[in-house]
Amino acid sequence: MLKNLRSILRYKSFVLTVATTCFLNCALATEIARSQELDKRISINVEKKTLKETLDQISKQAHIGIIYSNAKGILKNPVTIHAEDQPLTKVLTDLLSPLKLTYEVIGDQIVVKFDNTNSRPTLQKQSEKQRFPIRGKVTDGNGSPLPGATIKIKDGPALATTDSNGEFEINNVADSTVLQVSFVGYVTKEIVVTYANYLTISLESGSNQLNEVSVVSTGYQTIPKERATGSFDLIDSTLINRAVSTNILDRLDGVTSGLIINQNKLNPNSTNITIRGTSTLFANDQPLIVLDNFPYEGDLGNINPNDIQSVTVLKDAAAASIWGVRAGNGVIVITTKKGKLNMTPQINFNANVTFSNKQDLYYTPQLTSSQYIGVETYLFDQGYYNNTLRDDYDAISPVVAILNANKNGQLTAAQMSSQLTALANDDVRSDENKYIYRKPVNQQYSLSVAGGGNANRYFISAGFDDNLQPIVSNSYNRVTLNANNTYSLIKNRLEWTSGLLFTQSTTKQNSNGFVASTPYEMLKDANGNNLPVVHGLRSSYIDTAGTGKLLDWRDIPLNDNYSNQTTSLTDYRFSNQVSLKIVPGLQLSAQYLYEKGSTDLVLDNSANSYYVRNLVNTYSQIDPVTGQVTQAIPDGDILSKDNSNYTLNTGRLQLNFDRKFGKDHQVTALAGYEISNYTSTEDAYTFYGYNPATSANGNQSIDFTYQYPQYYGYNTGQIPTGLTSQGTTDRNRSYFANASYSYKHRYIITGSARRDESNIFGVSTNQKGVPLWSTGLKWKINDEPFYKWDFLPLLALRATYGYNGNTDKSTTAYLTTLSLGSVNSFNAPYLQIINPPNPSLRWEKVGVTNLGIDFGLKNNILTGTIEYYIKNATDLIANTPVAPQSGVTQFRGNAADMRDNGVDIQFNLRILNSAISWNTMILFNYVTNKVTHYELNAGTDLNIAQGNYVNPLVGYPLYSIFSFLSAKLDSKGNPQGYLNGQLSEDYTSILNSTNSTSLIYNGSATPKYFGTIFNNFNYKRFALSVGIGYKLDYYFRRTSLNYGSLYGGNFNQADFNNRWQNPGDENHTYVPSMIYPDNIYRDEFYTYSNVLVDRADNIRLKDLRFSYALDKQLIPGLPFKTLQVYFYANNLAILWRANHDGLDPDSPYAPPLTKTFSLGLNASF
Amino acid sequence: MVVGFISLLCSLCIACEKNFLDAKPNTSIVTPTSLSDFQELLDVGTSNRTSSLPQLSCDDYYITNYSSYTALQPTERNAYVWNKDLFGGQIARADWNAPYTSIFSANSAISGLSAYKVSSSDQVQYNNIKGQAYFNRAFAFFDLVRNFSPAYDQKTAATDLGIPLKLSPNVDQILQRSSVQQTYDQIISDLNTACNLLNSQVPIQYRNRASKPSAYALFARIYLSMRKYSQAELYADSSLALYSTLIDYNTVSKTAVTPFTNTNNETTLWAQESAGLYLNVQYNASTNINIDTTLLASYQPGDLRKSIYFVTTNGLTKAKRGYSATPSPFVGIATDEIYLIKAECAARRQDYPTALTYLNTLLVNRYTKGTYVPYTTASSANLLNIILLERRKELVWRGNLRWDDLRRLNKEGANITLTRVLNGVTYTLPPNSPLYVFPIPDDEIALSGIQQNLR
Repeated sequence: MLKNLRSILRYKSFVLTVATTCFLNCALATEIARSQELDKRISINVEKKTLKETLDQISKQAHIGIIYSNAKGILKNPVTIHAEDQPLTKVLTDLLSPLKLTYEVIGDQIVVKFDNTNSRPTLQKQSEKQRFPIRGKVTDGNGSPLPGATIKIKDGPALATTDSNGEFEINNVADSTVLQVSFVGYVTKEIVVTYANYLTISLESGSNQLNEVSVVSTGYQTIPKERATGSFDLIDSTLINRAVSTNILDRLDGVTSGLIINQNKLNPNSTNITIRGTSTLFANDQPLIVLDNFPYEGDLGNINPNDIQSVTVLKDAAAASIWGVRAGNGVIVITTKKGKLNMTPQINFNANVTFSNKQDLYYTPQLTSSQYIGVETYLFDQGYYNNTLRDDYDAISPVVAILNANKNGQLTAAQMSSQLTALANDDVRSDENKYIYRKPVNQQYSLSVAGGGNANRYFISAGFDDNLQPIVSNSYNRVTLNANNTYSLIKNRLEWTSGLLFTQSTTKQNSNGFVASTPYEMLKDANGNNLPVVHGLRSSYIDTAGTGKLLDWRDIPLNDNYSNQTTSLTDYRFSNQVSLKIVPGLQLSAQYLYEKGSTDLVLDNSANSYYVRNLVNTYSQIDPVTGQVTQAIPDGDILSKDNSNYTLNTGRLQLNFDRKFGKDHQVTALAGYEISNYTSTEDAYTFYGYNPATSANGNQSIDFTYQYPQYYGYNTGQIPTGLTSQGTTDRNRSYFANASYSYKHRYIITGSARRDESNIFGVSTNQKGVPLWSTGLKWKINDEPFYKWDFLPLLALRATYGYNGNTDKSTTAYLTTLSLGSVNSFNAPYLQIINPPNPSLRWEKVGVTNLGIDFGLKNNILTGTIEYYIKNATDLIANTPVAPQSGVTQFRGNAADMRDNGVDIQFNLRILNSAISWNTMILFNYVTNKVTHYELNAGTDLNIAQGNYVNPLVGYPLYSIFSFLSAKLDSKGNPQGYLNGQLSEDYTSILNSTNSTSLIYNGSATPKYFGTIFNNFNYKRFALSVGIGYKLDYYFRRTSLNYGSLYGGNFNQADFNNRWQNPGDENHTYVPSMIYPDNIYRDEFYTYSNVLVDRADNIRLKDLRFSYALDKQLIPGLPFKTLQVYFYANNLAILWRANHDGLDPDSPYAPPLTKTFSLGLNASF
Repeated sequence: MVVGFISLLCSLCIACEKNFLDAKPNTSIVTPTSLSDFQELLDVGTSNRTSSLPQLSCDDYYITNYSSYTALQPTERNAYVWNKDLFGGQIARADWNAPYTSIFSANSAISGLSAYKVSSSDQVQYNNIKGQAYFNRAFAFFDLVRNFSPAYDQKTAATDLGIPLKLSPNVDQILQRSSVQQTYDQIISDLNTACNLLNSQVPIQYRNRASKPSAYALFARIYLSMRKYSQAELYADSSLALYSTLIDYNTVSKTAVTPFTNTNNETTLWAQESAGLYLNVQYNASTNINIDTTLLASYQPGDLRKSIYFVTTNGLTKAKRGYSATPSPFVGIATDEIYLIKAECAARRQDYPTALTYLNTLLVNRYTKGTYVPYTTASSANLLNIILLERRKELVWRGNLRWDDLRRLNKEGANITLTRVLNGVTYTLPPNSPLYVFPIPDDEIALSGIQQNLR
């Protein structure tokens, strides 16, 4: 810094007043204009143009920012220069010297100045340099004043803040001082001070902020957004840091246009992020996550959100096709923070703590204790428990034990009734609330240092998260370390970047977590003693079994209420990138990434745990003569370990080309080759009779092939070895190229092509690859000479078309079998067929069309983007039931096509821009999805209603809600449906019908319209941001009463009191009567009938953030540069919902996400 | 950086390798190509499974109280009273699916073996595995046809509905039902192929695998069920000629829960009922069931079978584990059945001495030493009935065998009517009723559109 200043001070008189600054290549503009840049060779032909135009042209061609002024009107001087492949130094000298101008590299730009060489002061005279007052005004790009902008000496103290008119005044500034003008949300600008009456400084809006916002990253390259034809969604650090969360994905929810996180997952196998609808059935449906140029294979929970600079979501083919077959579901490109050249170390500290409510156990419907006792009594009277009661060991609930004792004459009716009444007053949820659940508290800390020197830049950070989870025995903590360093070598022609990311997390859980078996179970008695619960065996049996010779057989949940399972996750990621500038405009880069992760799960069931005591007792025998106890399982802990590891090696060679030809033509292109090899292994084993002190185990005493007799009953069982060993290998090889050509900056055409090859099993080499391509166009209408609409200064149209892909490596072309390592009854290993032959297996392809309009109204009152897209997914791997006569019940093959189309709209509104500012961001998304072709039979109507995503129907969304039309109950409380148009109670025929037209299509199970509205208010140093989310036009099925499940012991049932009980009830309820024995099809008919389908539409107050910022300018004595204190609240409330049952449609079955409240501070030094 | 570059170069070199993309994506997946792979394909548990419906429906047992009955699964309840709607909403029934899974494995093995280049050194092993594949297919087809088609009747077999005859592993090929005649023709053809290829020795260690003796025995069983007694007798002879060991029950524990091992010496082919589906009528289940009391009463003093086959606890007599050595009934092939087939066929052609020899040879092993009084020519007139009763006593709780006999003997005019009394209601199954043919599970009908049985 000091050196810079000296170089500035060396010259007394500069060309000063800064009126215009020109950046052309935004991506490169911030790169330092090092002296080496002056060796750059350029070609220029200018005939009698103004100096301004000429300098602009040089600046564009050389990718260097040139600062100049219009002092004395010199910029309007006509100049002529012809140079062919000349060094920049020569061109500038030739151009400027006739005008008595010179130039110098200052900071990271070239500053054009008056040639005062002759009167150049001696060094001794430096201190005598001229000082004078300056006045000026700071405005935005449209000329509106910016109040509160900061003016300071570069890397020095602040001098002034603009007033409400955007004006400032500074007395006594030394000539040639470099000033920095900054304002939140705008690009910081540097000016070189000279004497002038009044300065007008215009700041570029942050939406075009260099490197941060206007540059989108595909993971292969960064493109200025204005030159991108594809659909990119940028989430900058402000939006990322708006929310408080441990996981980065939680922070993308609601701020990313077209991205939705579904909490109510219909398909249990899918994770829950969807970008622009679903375009696969059974293959991977998750977007590809790219972290600093390479796909991230580890757990996303490993990434510290505080390290993230920006996220780019690639949504269409032109954006994503560069990622080939992995891009079918969209791509999320995460870029971590980096240091900057010549930047003093910036230390940033962030800490927050998040409190949540306890889980609402009363949200999930459940029979009250007295209702459940009523059901048990009813079943007891029907003889339901007689079979269980025939032996003396099968577990029976306390109520059945009481009823049975009464039946056997051991209890009088009065005793029975008083005992039942006592139980009816107990509610297990009160004890669960007290002893099993707690209010979670999450703490997060992060510290980072960023900086840079002349030839290097660095970023180092450490993060620590410590979460106490809702269940008292469970916790999570994470440590992350992140470091990256970039060195410029060989006169800046070679750049080397290395990055290291390390994560270690520990999850602690109680693997034997308490699950209530009756609603009246209690965990502690009145005296605070932990109580045993009925589990597995009958209380009366375990009290006497073994006459004291066996271990205590009682299960006392609170004695085992600690975490016994620890999952440790360790992840390293080491990356290296070397780029070499071969000739101007051509760059070769080689990247290499090594990623290694391991997950160690240790499950230690201590010798005293119920799990161990129960297992030991079960396989113990007592000799009836000698009374000798023989244990199959040795004394001690039972320790299970499961280690899984993965290693990823990826290399990429890439050639980048970026060059301007003549005045109007610019070509940017890249081509490359990439390989990756991912391997994973998993090994698990179990030690019986484990002694933690000595690590000794008793496995050698167990014969794992022997059928040990169980202590009770007649069963025998093998002691599980817990041994597994498995490995996977995923290899990919890709060739890719991508080019963009722009003409007159107004017309941009892009194209990409890629071939992916992978080790799909059993496919011949030529089928292992798939070619994918894309093309795009952009027309910046507002740059056309004929464009005259002043009220709409920004208007551009974009269109792209191309293909992404997807794979499903679990499917192969040949008959494949799975060797489970198990043996049959004769100890012979066997193979189980997992994949019937499928010779025509192909890759899935997704053709994407995207049309977009970007627009901006004058003064940025309204800016926005409207995009329309169509995604045609073909050759989708489909899973479908096939007739069992084929030997399999499911078949997977390329058998389906699907189509999504939708609209993504993003509006940014500036409603107020005075002392109080009010900005609104509106995200509106519309998406529909339709299965357009499905070769295979969808199965019975029940199959369709139960799992439409497994049995899709052509013409309907992949996730749909179908139901059976239900008439009112008959006079006995039986539900009535329709068979061939007639009222019917032949549930078997109704459910097994394959005439899908008799099903009711209620609607999509995923929202057709969704989005968020953010309102941001700023007043002085206060900021408030409120997010309101909405999801409209979708349906969900609520749970009601299922007798089969109830009789099986599941007391989590709704509507029990609303069931049909007396004739006439059919006029006001749809809940069927209780019958015994249960009729499965009657239950299923009701469960899937239309009366249980509700609209899921809802609007919710998603979150709220309130912050207050302090900085040194305000309080000079502050020990830090800036300090922000913030409060954040999440999952606040449902403002409106379409259903009348008080259900959260995104979580109809389980307690919804709890409200969370966070307090945090962010300080930078 | 240096490390990075070296690694990059190395990985690039790896990628240049021609077979970079040939790595197996998962260590545990296999494309069966070797003979041992094909053997493992046939050793899968589903190859030795049969339907449980005949055991549930037959008169070996009865349920002693109504509440026990109502607590059963729908299929168990419906099978017990021969309800028209058998599955009551339950799908994915192993009664139908397991044999077809076995057929799929067999067809996959047959198709894989046809592409296998056999050498002189592995010809014997190759033949034996191929023979097992054909045997498994025949075994599964027979299990299907005897449950889901009418009893074989020469007069109507050409028009009676058989089963879909899957002969290729193509899963996209959906077949309609063949005729009963076509089904039996296919079974016989497969068994003939198997007999020509299989080893002559019973695999002592792996009794789940077929051999010539068990293939001949299956022939005998099938011809007996077709009421083609002369062929049945010929194949019984062939089987016994290769393997005729009997267990002396005096050496078997009367108290053990599992009196036999699954490698016991009478078993030539081990198989069990589809386990896990309907276990509530097993001896160790809590359901209140009892073995048919008339049957129990027919065991003479000194007959060891009563205490080895059954156990009485809490006043109920239930079947212990049989030759399967598992809770599921044994449905494989054992020599005792073949002795009885031989005896019955000989008696039917009035060769009483031969019949008596085989009957007595078997029974002397079933009585306490020295207590057995052999049958003599004096009982010739009633010998067939004696043999049928001994068949009933010997082969109790053997899955399909009693049900097969009911279908066969009623065809012979035995006029056996089954009755059940439940909660005061009497249910009857008249001879030759269409209820002797089980309905095909709903999911198969819905997905392939094959014709359902009329009940």
